[in-house]
Amino acid sequence: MLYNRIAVLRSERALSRQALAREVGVNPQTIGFLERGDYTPSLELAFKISRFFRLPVEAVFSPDPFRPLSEQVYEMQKREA
Amino acid sequence: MSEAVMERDRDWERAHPFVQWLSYHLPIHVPGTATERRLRRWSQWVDRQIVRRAAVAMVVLVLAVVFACWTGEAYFDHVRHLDGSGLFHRIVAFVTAASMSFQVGMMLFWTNVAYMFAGSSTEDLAVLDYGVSYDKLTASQRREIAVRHRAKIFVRCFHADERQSVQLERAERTAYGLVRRTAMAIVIGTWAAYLIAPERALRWLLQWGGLMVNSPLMLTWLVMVLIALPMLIRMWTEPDEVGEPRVVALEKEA
Repeated sequence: MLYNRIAVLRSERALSRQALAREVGVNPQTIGFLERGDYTPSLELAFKISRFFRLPVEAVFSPDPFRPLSEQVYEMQKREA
Repeated sequence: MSEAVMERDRDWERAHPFVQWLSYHLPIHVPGTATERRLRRWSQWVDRQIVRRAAVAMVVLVLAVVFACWTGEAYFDHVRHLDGSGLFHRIVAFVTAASMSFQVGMMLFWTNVAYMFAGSSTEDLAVLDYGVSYDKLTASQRREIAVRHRAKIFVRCFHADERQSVQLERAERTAYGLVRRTAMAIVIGTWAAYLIAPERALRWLLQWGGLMVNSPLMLTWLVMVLIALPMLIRMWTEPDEVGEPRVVALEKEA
């Protein structure tokens, strides 16, 4: 099982499944299945998605569950302060 | 057509130049707003799991009815010493085989088209390419979208994406496992009957088996089952699509 942040990244950018699917060359339903964790992408697709969001692949996909982004950002801000 | 729009459309790029040419030059009926909405609702409805499972049930029913009727009829002919190789008999067998193949083939073909093309519509193309809803496009823009949509139907029917390919491979493996287990069970059952069954029952079994194997209709039936089985498994196991999260849906509407 591979966890991912595709839904969050899409929401942040107000990007539809169709738009992302077109950019990475898959069926729009595949994006839905990826977000739900029902399908583990190939390395090629994982890299395509990460490149599209301009993020390293480990920021989008992880073998362990992600911590909420808001929590991470708050901790970073606290550390900086 | 806008070059920028074409460049962004990967499915259109993947289409063979002949398909692109054909899509441009074949006559096309550009749907109005009401028809487009109806088509979109229909394509969403047809890709629901319950509808797919109903289609699977119908295919299985057709195959079961043909199997039951033909074996029953063949056995009846044999018991009554009727002419099982007469012209009328052959024509009935041919018409049954052709009708069964056509019905099952069409059902599987259209379900496959709906499956491959699910999740995108002319409305989505309009929003992606022009940033407005389909009903706000000009006649030429609608035509251009309809032309590309038609070509994409062809492309997607023959180029599954990686998830669809993986799912089909999984269904083929399951189908092979099912066929292997069934074949083993039939072989073991037949040998058990051959060694244990009383002579009269054995003669009946061999005669009945011979009637089934000798019929071209039964061969067609077997081939149809082998061809259709992976697709039936895929249609049965594919889960329903989850809707767009509310935030993105609202942004899209805005």
